[in-house]
Amino acid sequence: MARSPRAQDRSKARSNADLLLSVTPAGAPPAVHQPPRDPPAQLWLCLYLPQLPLEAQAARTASAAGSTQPLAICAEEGRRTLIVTVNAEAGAGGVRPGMPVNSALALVPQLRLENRSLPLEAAALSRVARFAARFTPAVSMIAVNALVLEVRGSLRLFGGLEALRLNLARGLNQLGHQARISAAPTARAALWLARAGMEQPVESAVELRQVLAAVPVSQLDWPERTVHLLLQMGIATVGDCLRLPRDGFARRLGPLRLRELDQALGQHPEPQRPHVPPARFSSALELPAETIDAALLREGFQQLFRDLKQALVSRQAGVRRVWCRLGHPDGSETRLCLGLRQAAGQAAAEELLPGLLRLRLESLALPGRVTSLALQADLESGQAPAGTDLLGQSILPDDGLRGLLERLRTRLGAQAVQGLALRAEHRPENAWRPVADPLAQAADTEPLVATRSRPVWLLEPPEQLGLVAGQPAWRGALCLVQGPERIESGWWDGGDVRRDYYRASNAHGAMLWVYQDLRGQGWFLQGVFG
Amino acid sequence: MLIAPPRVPYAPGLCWQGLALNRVVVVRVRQPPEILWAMEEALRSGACAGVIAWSGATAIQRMGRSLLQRLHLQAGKQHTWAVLVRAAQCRRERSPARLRLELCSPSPTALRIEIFKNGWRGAGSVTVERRF
Repeated sequence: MARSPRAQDRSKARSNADLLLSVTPAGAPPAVHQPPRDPPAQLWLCLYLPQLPLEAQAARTASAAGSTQPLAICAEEGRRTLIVTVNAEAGAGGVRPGMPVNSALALVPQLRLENRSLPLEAAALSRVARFAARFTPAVSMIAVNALVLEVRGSLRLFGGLEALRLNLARGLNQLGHQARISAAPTARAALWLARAGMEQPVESAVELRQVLAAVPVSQLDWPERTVHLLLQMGIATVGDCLRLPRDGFARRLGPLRLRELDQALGQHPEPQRPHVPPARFSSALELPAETIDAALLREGFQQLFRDLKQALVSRQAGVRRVWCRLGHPDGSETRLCLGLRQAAGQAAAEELLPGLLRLRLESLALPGRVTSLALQADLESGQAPAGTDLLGQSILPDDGLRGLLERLRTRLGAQAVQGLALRAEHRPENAWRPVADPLAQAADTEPLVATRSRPVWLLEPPEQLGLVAGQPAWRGALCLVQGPERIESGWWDGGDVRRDYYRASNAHGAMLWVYQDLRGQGWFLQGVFG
Repeated sequence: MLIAPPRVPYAPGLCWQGLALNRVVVVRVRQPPEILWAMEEALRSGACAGVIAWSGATAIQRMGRSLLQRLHLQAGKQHTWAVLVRAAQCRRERSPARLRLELCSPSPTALRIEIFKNGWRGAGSVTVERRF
């Protein structure tokens, strides 16, 4: 760093990099001119939940967590029933995953068996994904029991990789999951490392190659037959696989496996589809015992509201209304609807709604015991304040319309609110259709436009007109002012029509759309112009 | 938003008149008081550009002045125009609406629009001839 004053003078004229050099504190290692760096590589965290089948069942019953009874989850595979996961007590008795149920029962006679439920597991995993979404927007489900998170951009906010991992581990623990968390530059490598139990984070591509080489093939998510074949060939680790000729490997084991190897090493891209939490929040809880005690019910709902809060935080959403359902043993339900005047975020789940629920529960006479609780809510992204345009008029977001339609539907019934759309059809009564959700069709462009003059109002069904002196009449004789327009269509579906349409007016000034049925010779009124 | 239209709004006809069908919402009600309720909700939300409601003859008796006043206030607050189509007998009742019109057709081809209230300005009438 010792520079002559003249050298310093000269350095002023140089590039910025040199100036930076001259102000580097003495204690820091002198910065070296580095070649232009690549954009920071991705860093994927994998949350692998080996005990998910067990934990999903525990979350449902809310009782198995504390029990010390040996428990195993089993699933049918072909004609046999095999153990999928065991808890610690069962494991201590010698029960292992993959064992037939009979052998397991022989080892531990008091073993409790539960059937595996994939929907429950998926729900549990999406709950974990909701939780993970607070750390990064890029959360994907890479396997039925593993999530991957891209966290390069979140490291600084959460105080580095180690702090982030601790944060995640703590949160998962609270959710009742034990997870293996690994980190690697590619998603697939992170998954493989987590499955193999190598939780040491790997950040560089060079290191990744070395670490991956040691991963046994039996720990990959490859099918059993592939693994068996590899082991027979004397290939036990990923490193062995990488040493094989590529084309031969692809031929014997399939191009998919080769691509996965490339993806793990970052030589082939593997785009991940981010997990998008549903806009509708829904969560359910089975009570450990049938009860009618308000305190227990409140406690159960408290748990559901905690889930709701997490969903709100991760989506930056608000909630205006929640539906609470209390299930009774006979299958009937008591429903409560709690609403807020305005959508509220986290505070709603923490205080407002539980407070409202307590009031409602106190005044509610339950028809019987309660076995299960469920909570549903529509999440609204209405937490951002509405903006104004340049003239100071408020911009009306569609959200307001959505909320309005929701309120109208709630009060008047789902069928009460409709949108309209055209249909490519010549018969007037079929040329339109009601649309259940008027907002849904706003996205797709309307390809159909009316090409002929049509009335604004339709009579369904058409009204038969009387005849006065051979002329059709409706509150007075009709005068045909325009027409005819021949419509002949529908022979293929039995609704065959052959009609001549006219515009007609009567003495009161009503402008009508009438037709003469060319087969029956009758006159009908089908529409009214405005 | 069309609330409680007396007939089926015919989509091709509305389209012919130049309405964007994907912005049209039709609301049906079961009881007359719900018409006003739906109208108030629509006006309060400020999400609709305009609201047209048809109150059948049955609602006339119950529709007090205060209810209309409420609708009027809501519409003013949110810059939404609102039209309440009422039966012709209602003309004698007082209403806070800014503009009140009566439509009738004296002859088969004419439509007379009588403006019998227009803020503080005077009343008048216009006759429009229909052309095809």
